[in-house]
Amino acid sequence: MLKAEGIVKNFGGLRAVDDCSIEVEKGSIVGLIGPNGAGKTTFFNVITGMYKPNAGRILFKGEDITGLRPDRICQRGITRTFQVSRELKIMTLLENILLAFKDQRGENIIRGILNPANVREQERENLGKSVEILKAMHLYELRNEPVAILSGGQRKMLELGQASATGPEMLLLDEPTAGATAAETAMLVNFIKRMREEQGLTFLIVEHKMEVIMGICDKIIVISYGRKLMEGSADEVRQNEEVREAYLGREA
Amino acid sequence: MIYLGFGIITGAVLALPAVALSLLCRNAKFFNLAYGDQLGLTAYLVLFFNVSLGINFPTSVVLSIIISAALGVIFYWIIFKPLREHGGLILLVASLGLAFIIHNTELAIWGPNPQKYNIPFEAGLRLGPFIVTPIQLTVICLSLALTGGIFAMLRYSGIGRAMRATADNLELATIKGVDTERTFIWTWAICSATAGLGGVFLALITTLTPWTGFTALLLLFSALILGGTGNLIGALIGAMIIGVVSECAGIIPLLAPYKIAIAFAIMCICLLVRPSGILGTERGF
Amino acid sequence: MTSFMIGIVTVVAIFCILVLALNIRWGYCGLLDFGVAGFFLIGAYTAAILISAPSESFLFGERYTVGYGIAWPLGLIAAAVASGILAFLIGIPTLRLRGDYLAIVTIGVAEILRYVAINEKWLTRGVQGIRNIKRPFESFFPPASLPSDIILLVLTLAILALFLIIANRLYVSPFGRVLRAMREDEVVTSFLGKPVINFKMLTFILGGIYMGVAGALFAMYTTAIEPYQFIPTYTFLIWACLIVGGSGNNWGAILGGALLMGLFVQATRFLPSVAGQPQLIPALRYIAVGVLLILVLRLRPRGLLPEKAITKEIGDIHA
Repeated sequence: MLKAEGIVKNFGGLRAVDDCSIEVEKGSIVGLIGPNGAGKTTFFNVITGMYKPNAGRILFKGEDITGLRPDRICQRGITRTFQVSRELKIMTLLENILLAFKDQRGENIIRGILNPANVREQERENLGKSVEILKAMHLYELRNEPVAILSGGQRKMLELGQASATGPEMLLLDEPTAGATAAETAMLVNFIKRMREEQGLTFLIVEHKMEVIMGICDKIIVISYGRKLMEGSADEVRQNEEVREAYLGREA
Repeated sequence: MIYLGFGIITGAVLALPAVALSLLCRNAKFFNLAYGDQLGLTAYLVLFFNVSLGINFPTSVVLSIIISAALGVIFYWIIFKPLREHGGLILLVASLGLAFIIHNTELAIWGPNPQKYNIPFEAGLRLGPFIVTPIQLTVICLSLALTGGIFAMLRYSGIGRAMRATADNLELATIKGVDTERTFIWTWAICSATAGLGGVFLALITTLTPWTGFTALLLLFSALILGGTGNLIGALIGAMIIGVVSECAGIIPLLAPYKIAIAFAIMCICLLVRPSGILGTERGF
Repeated sequence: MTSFMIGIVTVVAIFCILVLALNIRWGYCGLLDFGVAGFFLIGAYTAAILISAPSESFLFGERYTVGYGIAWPLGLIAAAVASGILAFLIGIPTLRLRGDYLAIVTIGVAEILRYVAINEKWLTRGVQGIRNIKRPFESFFPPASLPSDIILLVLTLAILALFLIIANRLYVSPFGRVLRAMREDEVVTSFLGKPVINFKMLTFILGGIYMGVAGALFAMYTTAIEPYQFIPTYTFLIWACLIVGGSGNNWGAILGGALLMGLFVQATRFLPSVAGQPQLIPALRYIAVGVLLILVLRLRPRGLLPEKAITKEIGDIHA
């Protein structure tokens, strides 16, 4: 579904990503791991359209999306989340979710002003869907509070809910459980699994927490020093010598 | 030819404050819209010392520059530093407010009519195809020399290095032990003093009205953006180009009143085509 | 006496439209517009050129391209269109860049427009300006009469009310939601699939339309315009009104406009002029406004009426 070919990214004189290629099959959950500063975040940012690569290209469903504007990439069906949760803190939870839906008639300036029946109807529909998402995340009670009051883990859940509201075919999650408690992490993992099962979503996840990665990923890709070290199943990665070395004694 | 000559003079006079403005913007991380009026204000201060108090010209200039530097620091202390946390856009609005306070102060005290300094009138000398007065010559030389001086200061002096460090990466500079507060104060002082000097030079080669500062602002920012925001050498080159082109536009009678508009149009085209300017922006801005 | 009061309220209302427009650009969308005077000018001159009496096209043996004597509604619409187009043209190069650049470009464009008004005499009659701008229903109520003043006041207030309603509806609409999101974090909003630059452009144009209409109303109010009425000082005043009144809040915008502009106009009545220095008192007023602006920014940056949050309950969709 998603293919990155020969991605190279330089920053100044530094080569952060050196000829990386990965492939993510439809309906799979793929993990992206690697030591800090290994270039995996940069690589992720290139794939999600935040940076333009110096070389290489990215294909989504066979179409070239390299260098597209972020909003166009989202329109095509890929949504990403952020490592440090970038929720819109002043707005309420409900508004954050409402914002995310696609093809809102009310976002057209004329229709927004006139507010005809079909705009109101769509708003009601989206409101209903937002409520469902918030209820599933156990955040319904806080729906009218500003996001600023949420804890780290709650923000991650909101972010995931928001991402799912965009109606994507594929989700690129950047450390979706960072700052979440054990219970929240378990909930997040469950959501991801459910979204794959119920909606057929595809996932590419950057993570540090090994139990999460090992738990849900069909395939794991390891990036180190800007290069793809290896890819394989959880067991293969666990037993790989180079991977262990790259992590220098970290639990692999 | 006369146009070209005046263009070079204008460019040289603009170069000094342009480079200083670039330095200031890079350090303070916002476009100081009051800068033009800082130029104008100092020029008026010189007028006060020179014409109203009868002090000789060079001393007036020195006094005014010192006051300008002090004012710059005061502006930093009471306006820009406390508002820093709100971000660049609010600082921009505040600087606009300051610009108008200064502008209207000039208007209130000295009125809208053009003013002249108390210096002897000099005939022009022939220098190749150009005609320059000794004052214009002095102004060009001083202006370019001092611009060079700024570059030297940045390169070789302690405070210059501190300025570069804080502009590039504030946190890193603080960690490395640079007294960032002192650096900011020095930056504002030096850049305001330079603005003041630029204002005096400008008043010497053109007229002085409460609008001089604002007009200078437009020209300076055109130069800055043309050369590449945050890029000091770019500011220098931008200033020369703006000076020459806007004056030479006067050759075409249709365009003569639009000299400043031409400079501005150049900047707008630059933004359309190559927003990072001729030499490109430097990191940190 | 009454005519004077009506005049003041009219002029204040016109400036309130300008502050409202600026609120849409800055308060809603974070666009730094320092060229309000320019959009105001374009609206005023477009209307003036079209609406003024045909006698204006001829002065001291010179022909000018003014004075078409067109009906005032068309003048208003033309002003709105001209201003909108200007917004579009400025927006193309600048909206995709950082906010500071828009600030600088708008300052310059406003000044250039003023230069054009001064120098292109064939179009604008230069510093003499355009006079004999016809008021609405002038054939029934001549300009210097009370009914004419009242009609213009009613028209201005009606337009102000309409613009206010539009602005409020926009704020609570999904369009407004995207704007509020953009203001906080453009990157995230972009990644959620919203074409940020389109939203900016539309907001910028809408603000322009408001400002253009205000300009047309101003032209009809004064019945004579000239370039000096559009100096950058007025841009600065409008900003002060917005910041003091409360940016992000439409009622704050109107409050700021009414307060500052009302005080401004009133102040001239009571302060005596200093002999030999006619510019002293007006300059002092501006200095006071500048100081007020900076004080507000430092002490109460959100203004008198800060922005209110929106809460949405189930079944609470605006009908």
